[in-house]
Amino acid sequence: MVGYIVKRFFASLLTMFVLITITFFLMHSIPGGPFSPAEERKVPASVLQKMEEKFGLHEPLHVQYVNYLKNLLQGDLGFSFKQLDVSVNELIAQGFPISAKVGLIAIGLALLIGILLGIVSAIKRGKWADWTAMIFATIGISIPNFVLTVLLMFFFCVMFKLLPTYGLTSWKHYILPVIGLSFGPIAYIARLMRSSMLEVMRQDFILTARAKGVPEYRVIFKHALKNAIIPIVTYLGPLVAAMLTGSFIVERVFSIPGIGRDFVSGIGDRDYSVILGLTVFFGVFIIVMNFIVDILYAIIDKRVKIEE
Amino acid sequence: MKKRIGHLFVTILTVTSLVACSSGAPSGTETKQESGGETAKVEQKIIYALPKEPEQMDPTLNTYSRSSTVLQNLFRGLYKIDESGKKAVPALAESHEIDATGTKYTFKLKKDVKWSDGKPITAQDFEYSFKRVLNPEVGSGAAFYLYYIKNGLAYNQGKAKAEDVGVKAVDETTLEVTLESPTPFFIELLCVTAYYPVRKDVVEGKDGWTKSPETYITSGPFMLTELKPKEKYVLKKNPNYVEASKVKLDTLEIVFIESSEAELAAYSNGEINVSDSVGKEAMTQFQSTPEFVSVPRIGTYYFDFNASRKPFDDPKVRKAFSMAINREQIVSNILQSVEKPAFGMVPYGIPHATQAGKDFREVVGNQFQENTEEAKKLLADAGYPDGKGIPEIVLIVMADQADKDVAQAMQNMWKENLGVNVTIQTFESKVYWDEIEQGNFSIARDGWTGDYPDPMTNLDLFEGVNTGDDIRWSSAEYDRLLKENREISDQAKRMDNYVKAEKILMDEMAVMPLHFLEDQYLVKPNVKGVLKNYIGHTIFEYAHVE
Repeated sequence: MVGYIVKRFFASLLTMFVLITITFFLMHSIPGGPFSPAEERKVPASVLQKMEEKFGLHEPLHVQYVNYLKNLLQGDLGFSFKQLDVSVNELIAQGFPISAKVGLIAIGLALLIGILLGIVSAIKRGKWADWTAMIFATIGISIPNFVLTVLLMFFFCVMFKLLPTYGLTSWKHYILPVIGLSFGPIAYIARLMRSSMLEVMRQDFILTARAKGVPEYRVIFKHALKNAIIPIVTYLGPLVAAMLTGSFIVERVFSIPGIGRDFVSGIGDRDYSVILGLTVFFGVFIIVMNFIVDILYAIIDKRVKIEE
Repeated sequence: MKKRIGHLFVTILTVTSLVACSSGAPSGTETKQESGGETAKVEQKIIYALPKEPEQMDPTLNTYSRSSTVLQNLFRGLYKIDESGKKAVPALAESHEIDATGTKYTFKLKKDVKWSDGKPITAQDFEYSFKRVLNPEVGSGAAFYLYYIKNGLAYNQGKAKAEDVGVKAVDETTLEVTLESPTPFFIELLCVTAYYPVRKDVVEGKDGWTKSPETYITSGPFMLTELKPKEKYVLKKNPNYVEASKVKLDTLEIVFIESSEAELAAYSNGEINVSDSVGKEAMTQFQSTPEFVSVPRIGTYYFDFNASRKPFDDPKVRKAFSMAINREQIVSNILQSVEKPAFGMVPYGIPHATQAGKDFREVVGNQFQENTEEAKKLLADAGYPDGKGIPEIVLIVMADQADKDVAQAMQNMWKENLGVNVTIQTFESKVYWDEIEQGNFSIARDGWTGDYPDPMTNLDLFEGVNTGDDIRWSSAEYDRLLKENREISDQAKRMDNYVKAEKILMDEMAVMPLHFLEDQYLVKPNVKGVLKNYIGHTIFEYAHVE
């Protein structure tokens, strides 16, 4: 177990290093820079040059790269080029808890409803409940996030004026963003759960349990569920990583001050330190999540041996 | 089944559009009734949305227009733009005197001008701030605004010392500013945030003074009381502001809503009182209601011709292209806007210096006309009858839907009216200006908003020193007229020179103006006195809630 963790740790470090290096050079290869002339504001070239010097952008690329790695080792992600006195560390410290809070609620909702829908449609296979759940799931998978969130906002905020449109100041503010975030995952989990459940229900041990006279609800929730849930756990790693780090669309539409939209706007602004800082942060986060999921396998399914 | 879904969809659409249309009106009457029947005091609070947090909260470093909007509510300098949004009037200064040469200004500060923490604002604060903007070590992007001051440019480039800069505090309340040359618009220039004061002990006291309300000391109508990154800034009335007795608003909440659709929803839902980012949808929905306001700003949307590349090295071709489009149609049908088509470069909103109450544009009128027949003739004269034999023409625009629509409309008009094929290329904004600098274009979308209400702010773009990396056009006579206008203070002569210069620009059609810029905003009927100044900043100093 310890050997496995150590091995994983070094593999992760290498992954991070490759990730940072690729991102760094790719990012600099996009034409334009943080201080290229902005729209309709003609700041003199000499001033732009001075700004570049201030941020060390006049140095050759490999020097900038080494400098970045040095600072990174000290935990310093640098200052944003766009918001001139905000550091990337601050940006993450402020934004991540907000994104994570909305994300956690959405994950909870997605798991609860997704698993329930999956079980129901597996048990009632071919009946109307199954059909309803699966139609819902298909819609959930096929409606893009940006359409859904705008529709939600249109119906609940503009038409019926029931819910607020921006910010996160009361419980009401959470409703639409959470629905927007969890809709897709609910659908995915429901389908995954259904097929996994159907497969497990065909297994011999279920037949044995039924033959023993175990009540149906115990067969489902004790015997079948435990085995059917493993694919969901696999999906949980990337899901948690994606949900906690925020969604560009949901955060943009509902004006949530999380970190989900910083990455995309960072690329638009050529805000190098924000792009790199968030890449590092997301990278570490995804690696850690996948690692936790691997450990979880072993706990849920005793047959999985971690040393393998 | 398919058919039924289709029906359902149509029904939903009709219902929603009906609701959408009617939602604006009833909410308006409701609020009116409330304010009429209720005599109790209404809360003096306005919620206003900006797309994003301001980039820079230190006025001496700021060059961004969004940041300026926030800073213009927090800070005041020697002069400010008045309630009409058009004229500079004393703010912290009481008066000024100009010497005979027109280069030396002596400002007297008002008595009892104070910072938001109650300490007096002194002439020394102004001296410190002006020099801070120019200090090469500070590296402020706004330094160029202060190049008018004697040795400003030299100090900023490390060729002169701080003591040589033409700004001196004679005593606590007297400030002397010496300029490089007489600058008749210097007083208006003082309304730009780069000329606003910051205090030495505040700026140098603690790292990141702009990041917490406790250390953020201001000189204007409001002060910062709450700062939630990316969420909102809460501003309260500054009791120490020199004109605090006239400020009626207690609270100004600036919230950040990135997408304009979401902002429209928030406005329709009554969550914000003033909305700035008015998209096409908001425009069609509110255009005919009293909630919709459109005011000119001193800017122009225009296109660059690359005068170093065939066929636009020939003024006849440039003129033909400019005369062969229909601006009115582009503005009202494609952009669905209420802005005015442009037949000159100096926008509305810039006063004519000798004809009181009139804009330069109104006095001067149009500098050219659209005329398809004439355009065809010009093109034939240039050697391209019916567009035959014309070299490849590339029109570049930014990846913005409105810009692309305009480009396509013009492409059609040129095809139809001149028989010329134009290729459109789009670029992301970060790369776009590089393309122009490299000269990889025949026609390029461009635009400019000035800083002060004098035609110079819109015309100096086309002086030879500035056109090298965009339109690559220059005219010795044009340069001479503008140079002269920097040195003289006879306003009649100056206006005359501007008319001549603009005529040269439009006769040669160095650039092709499309329309003058206007700022649109939505404001709830019970909110009064919200001001957009000529640069496009939204000012709440004079606002109140009824």
